[in-house]
Amino acid sequence: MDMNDFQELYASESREHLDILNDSLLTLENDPENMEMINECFRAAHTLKGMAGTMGFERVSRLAHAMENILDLLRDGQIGVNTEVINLLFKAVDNLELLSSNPDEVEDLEGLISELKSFLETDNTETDNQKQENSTSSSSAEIDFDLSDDELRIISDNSGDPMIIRIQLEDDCVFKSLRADMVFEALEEYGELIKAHPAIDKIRKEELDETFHILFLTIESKEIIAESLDNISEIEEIEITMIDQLEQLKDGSQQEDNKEDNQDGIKEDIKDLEDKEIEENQVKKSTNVKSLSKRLKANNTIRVDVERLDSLMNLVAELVIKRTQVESVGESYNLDELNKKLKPLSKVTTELQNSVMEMRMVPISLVFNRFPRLVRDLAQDLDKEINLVIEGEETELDRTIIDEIGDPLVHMVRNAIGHGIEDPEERERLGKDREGLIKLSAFHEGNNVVVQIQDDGQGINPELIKKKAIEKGVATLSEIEAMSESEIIMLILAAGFSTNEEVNDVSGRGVGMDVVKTKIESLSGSVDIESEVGKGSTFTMKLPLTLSIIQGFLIKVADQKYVIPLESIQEIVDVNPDDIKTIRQEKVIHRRGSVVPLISLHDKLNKEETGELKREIPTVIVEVGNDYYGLMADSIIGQQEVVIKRINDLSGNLEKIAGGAILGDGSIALIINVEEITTS
Amino acid sequence: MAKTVLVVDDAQFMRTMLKKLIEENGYEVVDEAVNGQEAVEKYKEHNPDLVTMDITMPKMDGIEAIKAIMDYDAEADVIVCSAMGQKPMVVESLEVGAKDFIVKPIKPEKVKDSLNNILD
Amino acid sequence: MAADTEQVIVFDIGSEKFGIKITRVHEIVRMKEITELPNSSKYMEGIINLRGDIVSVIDLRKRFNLEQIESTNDTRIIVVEFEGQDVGVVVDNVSEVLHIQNSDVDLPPKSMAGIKEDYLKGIVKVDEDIIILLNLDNLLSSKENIQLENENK
Repeated sequence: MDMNDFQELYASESREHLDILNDSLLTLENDPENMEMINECFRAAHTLKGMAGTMGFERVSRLAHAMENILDLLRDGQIGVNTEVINLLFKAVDNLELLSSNPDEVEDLEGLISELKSFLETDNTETDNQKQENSTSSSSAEIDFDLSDDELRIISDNSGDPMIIRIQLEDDCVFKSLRADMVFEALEEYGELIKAHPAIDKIRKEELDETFHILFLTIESKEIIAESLDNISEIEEIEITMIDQLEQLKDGSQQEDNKEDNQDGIKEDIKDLEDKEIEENQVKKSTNVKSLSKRLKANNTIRVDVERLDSLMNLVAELVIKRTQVESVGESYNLDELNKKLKPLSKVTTELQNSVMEMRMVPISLVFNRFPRLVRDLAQDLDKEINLVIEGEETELDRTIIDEIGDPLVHMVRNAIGHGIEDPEERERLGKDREGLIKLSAFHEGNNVVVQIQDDGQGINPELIKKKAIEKGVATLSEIEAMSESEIIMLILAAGFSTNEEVNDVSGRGVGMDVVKTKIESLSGSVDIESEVGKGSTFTMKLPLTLSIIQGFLIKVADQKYVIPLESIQEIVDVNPDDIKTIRQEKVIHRRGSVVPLISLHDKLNKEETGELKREIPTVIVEVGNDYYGLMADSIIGQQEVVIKRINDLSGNLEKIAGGAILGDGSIALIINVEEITTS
Repeated sequence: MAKTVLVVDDAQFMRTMLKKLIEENGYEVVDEAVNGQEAVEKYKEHNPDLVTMDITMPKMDGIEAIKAIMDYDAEADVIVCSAMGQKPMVVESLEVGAKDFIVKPIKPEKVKDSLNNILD
Repeated sequence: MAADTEQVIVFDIGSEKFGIKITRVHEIVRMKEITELPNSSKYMEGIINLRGDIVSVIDLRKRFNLEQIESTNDTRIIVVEFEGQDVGVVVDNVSEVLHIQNSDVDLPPKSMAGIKEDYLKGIVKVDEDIIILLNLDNLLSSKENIQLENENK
C-alpha cells in the first residue's frame, strides 16, 4: 500500500485536530475545570499520534504522544491546569504545526519532548526498560515451573495429561500480556491452567518478551489445543510438549510460590481496572453534544480539491452561457417549440449552478478559528486583557472569499488590540472593565454576508486623523474641512495613510488599511468604519455571498452594454425630463417623498450623448448604503444571469467597472461597480 | 459473497486506511461510522460479519459501542483498534466481547491476520 | 546549440520591425471586436472575449503615440503572458518567426526610434532590417509616455 495516497488526507485531517487542540486549550485555559476540553485535547492528540505513526511521521507521533501523556495526567487530576502546562501544550501544538508545514524550522524538538516528559512526575518507567531483565529461554524442556504442592496435587488429582505449551508472539506485538490473556482464556475451555512462565502476574505487567510457557492440564489432544489457539492474532509459533512423568515436574519445585501468582489476584486486578475505566467513561459521556455534532457533520463529508470544484464551477458557468446562446437563437427565430423545451433545461442548469455554488460554501469558522489563539497571544504580548466574542461562525461564504479575507481580518483585529483596546489600568481608570471586548461576528444581510469587528476601546479620534491625513498628503485642509466626521474616519482607508515606517509588529506587517480596503473591494465587497471616541470602533465588511455568477440588469449606454447587479437595484423607472429638478447643480427627481440624485451614465462612462431629446429616460434606481441614486441609461435590455470575469486592469483606473460578462452573442458587457459610480 | 465489515473510527484517515486494507483482503466494507452511537445504528442496519472499532471517539466510545452491539447481537465479531497506551481499554473491550484487537499504528500484515482469523 | 538560438516573433508597427520571444507568446489571433472601457487610455485599449475569457488588450500604436489606423486584414492581436495573465497586444501585422543567434543580438542603445533603453532587450540585424527586441514586462507595466519616432512619415 502506498502511503503517499494518504498524504493529502493526513494533511487535512491533522489540520483539523490541530485546530481542535488550539481551541480546546484556549477554552481550558479560561475554564481549567473543564474536563470535557481535556478530553477533547486528549482525543485530538491521541488521534494525531495514531495517524502520524501510521504515516511513519515519527517526530509528530512522539510529540503527540508526550502531549497525550500530560493530558492523561490532567484528566486523572494528577496535575492541575495552570499557565505553565497550558503554555507548554501550546508550544507543543505550535511545533506540531511546524512539523507538518515547515519541519526545518522546528528547533530542539527533543528539548521540548523532555520538557513535556518532566511533567510526568509519577514514575512511569517504561516497561520496555525492564524487559531485558526478564529474558526467558525458549526451549520448553529447560523451563522450571517451581510448582507448589497444591499445584502438584491438582495435577495428580485431575484426569488429563500435563503439557507445556510454548507460545512465541510476533516480535512487534504491542500488548503481549493481552495476547497471553487471550491464550489463557482460550485454553481454559479445554482444561486447567496450572502455571505460566514468566508468572502470570509478571505477564500482566508486560514483563515478558516474545516467548512464554504454560503448564496446562487437559484431556484433549495436542492438535485440538493447538487449533484452539490458532485464531489468536500475533502468534508466531505454538509448540506443545507432552509431559509423561509427573516426576519431571516435581523436580526443582520445592520452593513455595508467591500467593500473588494465583488467579484471584489477577481477577482483582482486572476489577480495579474496570472500576477505573468506568469512572473515565462517565467523564467521557458528559462530553458536550453540541460542539461534537458540528464535528460529526464535518466528518460526513468527502474532500474535494478546490481546483476540481473550480473547474466544475467554470464548466457550469460555460453551460449557463451556452444555454443563454441557445435561448437567444430561439427568441430571434421565434421557435416556440424550442423555447418551450428550453424552459426545463434552464431550470436544471439554474439548479445545477446553485448546487455547485453551495458546494463552494464553507463556514466562516474556517477563518474565525484562528482568532482565539491570535488574540490570546497578542494580549499576552501587549499586557492587555481581552475577551474575544465570536458570533455567527456558521455563516457560510464562498470558498474563494474565505480564502481571501483571512489577512484583512487579522490586520483589523491586530489594529483593534494594538490601537483600540487600552491597557487594563487605563481602562480601570476610565471606569471600564479591565478586560477589553473584541467581538467578531458574521451574519447574512440580503445577498451579502456582513463581517464585523467591534471593540470597546478608545475609538478613533478624528482630530488625529485630520492631522495625519494632511501630514501624509492624503487630503488637503480644505478638503477635510468639507468632510463629515465619518468621512474623516474613513480616511484611514485611503492609500498612503498608514505607511510602512510606522507599522509596528502588532498592527500589521507592512499592510496598511488601504490594502485591506483594496482586498475587500477586489472581492466586490466594501468596508465601513464607525467609531466613537472613548467608546470603541466597529469595522464592517460587506461581502458578496458568492463570486462569479450574478443576476443583473442589462442596459445600454451609447453603443455599449452594461450590467447592473440586481442586488443593488431598487427599481427601474422611466423618468420624464420635465420631472428633473436641479438642486445645487445636481439633477434630482422626487421619488416617494425623497430626493434621488440622477447620474448620467454617459458622463461616468465617457460616452457621448446622442443629443436627441428623449421623452422618457430609462433610469435604474440603485441603493448604495442607505442612499438612492438614479442611473440614467439609453435603454434597458432586461434581466440576465451573467458570469463575472475579472478584468486585468493594465491602466489602473478601472474602479467604475467590477468586471466583464460574456453575453450570449459573444460580446462583452461591463459590470458596473455601483458604489464607485455613484460616489466618485 | 464477500464477508462484510463495518469500519468505526472518528478519523477519516484511519477509516480510509482500514477500508483499503480490508478491501485488499477481499472483504467488503459495508459502511463506516464516526462514533460509537453511529456504529451501533449502522450495525443494526447492516448486520456486518465484522466490526473494526476505534476506542477513543466522541459521543459514544468504542467500549460502550461494543457493549451495545453485543447486547443486540451476542455473536457479533468486533476487532478493537487501540493505540499504544490504551491497554486498560483493550482489556475492557475484550472483557465486554471484542474478539481481537489491533494496535495503531496499524500494520497491514497484522490487520490481515486479524481479519482472516475471524472471518475465515 | 539551443542555448544560443532563440525564436522571435517579428511584427510591424508603422515602419519599424519589433520582435518578442516566442516563448512569451501564447497565441496570435486576428483582430476582433474590442470592448472599450471607460477612461481607457493609451495604456489599455479595452478587452476582448477570447474563447470565453476576458483578455485585456493594449494597442501598441496608441502606446507609441502613433496615429490610429483602421484595422486591416493583417492586424493581429498577439496574446502574451504578462504577470501570470494573458494580455493582448495589437500590432499592424505579424511578418515572420525568426531564429536568431544570441551572439547576433546587440546591446540596446540608449534609445532606439524614440524608445528608451528600459523597454529594449536589444537589437538584431537580419539582412537589411533592424529588428528591435522589446522588453515586454517593462513596456506593459510602464505608464510613461513613449513617442515612437517614425521618420518615414
